[in-house]
Amino acid sequence: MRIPGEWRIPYNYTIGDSATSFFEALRERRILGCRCASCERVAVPPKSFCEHCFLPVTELVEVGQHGVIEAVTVVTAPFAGSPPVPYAVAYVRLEGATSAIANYVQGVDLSDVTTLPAALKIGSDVQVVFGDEPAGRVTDFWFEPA
Amino acid sequence: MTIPSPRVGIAGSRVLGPAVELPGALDALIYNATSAALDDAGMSITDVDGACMAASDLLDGRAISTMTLTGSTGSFRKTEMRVCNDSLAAVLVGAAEVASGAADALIVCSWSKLSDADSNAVLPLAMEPVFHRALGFHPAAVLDLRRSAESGAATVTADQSLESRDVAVATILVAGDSPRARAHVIGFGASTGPYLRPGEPVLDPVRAAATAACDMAGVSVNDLSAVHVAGLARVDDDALADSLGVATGMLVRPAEPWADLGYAAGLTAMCRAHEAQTTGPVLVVSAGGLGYENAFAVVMEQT
Repeated sequence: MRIPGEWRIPYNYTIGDSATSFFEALRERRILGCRCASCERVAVPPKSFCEHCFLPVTELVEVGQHGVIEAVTVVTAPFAGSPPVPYAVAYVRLEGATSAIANYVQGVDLSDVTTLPAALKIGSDVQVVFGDEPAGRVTDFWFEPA
Repeated sequence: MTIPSPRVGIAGSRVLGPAVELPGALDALIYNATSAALDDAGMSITDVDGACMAASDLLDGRAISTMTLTGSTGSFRKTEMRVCNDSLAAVLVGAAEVASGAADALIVCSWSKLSDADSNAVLPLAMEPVFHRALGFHPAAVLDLRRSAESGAATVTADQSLESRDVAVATILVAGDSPRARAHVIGFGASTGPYLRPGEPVLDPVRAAATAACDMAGVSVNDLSAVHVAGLARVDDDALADSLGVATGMLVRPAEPWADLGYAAGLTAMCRAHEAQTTGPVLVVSAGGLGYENAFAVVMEQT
């Protein structure tokens, strides 16, 4: 015998000063990272510490809105809550950053996933595109071929 | 970490399943596994000083599942430890407890009863919530993004055929010089790579964990008789063997390599390796995380 059960627990994640600055900047169509004073790496999205040096980080810097693809996958498997397949997800290193941030790549033809478009090659140039009304969410922007 | 002599022994073990569905309540399954492992060791619950388990509240659907399942793990009025990771991590913690002298004998157990749950609903909760879960992409893409960064080419995240299986598993660890020891765990290794930050070769954590376990055991990969692989279903034999520096024929995969045993995978593989009675040192490796960013390894040998 099985008894149905369900967890419905709302969370309001405290995201801290660094991520708050990042999301507030998205509303202004800007993208922020943080620069470690020790190693000078610029992480996007910003954190309050450097994962490499294990030191606190306070300096926020604006990074560019062009970048290169460091990793990309085209998803053909449908999944609850995801966009209609196929779609492309990439990690892109933006100008001035030393780490990559994930988001969707739009504006590419994915009708034949056996021959992925050249625009999705690793190292390809992409640009950030913002939606009409940025709301301070990671979904405010995506990437498109430059 | 160096575990002082004597080494840690394995006195008994039991694996229930894997099966599409193991009937019975979760605590009954766990009891069946732990009590059978004690029987296999010729021991009773009064002979053990505690339990170390690998479990996940999320997968179990219970808040603080250690408390709700305490009776079945055999830890009433005893030391109870839990890791929220693959069960080889519980072996590592339990072995440290025995090797330190804090316990003479310990139950290490793990389980997965995902037949109770909708894994498609559970999987996304493993994603970091602010920058990744909000995007809502397929959790399997995490591994394929790591592969993309490593290979320098776009990948395709196609339909995944991992199938959940129910399993309950337990082993009894004893001091290495115990007459009950039928096998010994002589090396441990663990390694954690960056999560959701592609760039590191996918199998680096597995290789690092395996190397650490072999180093601790004082054996080289050339000395190994077999390599039992837990999980890692989306890594093919050639890539894994190449990463570990062993021949492909050395690898021992589960009967259902596409089965998802959750956190119980590592201990299940270790118990299967014990049951195989292979002569010589045997390596057991496991990896967790959506992209195999977290790996564990043990080296064991029969007495």
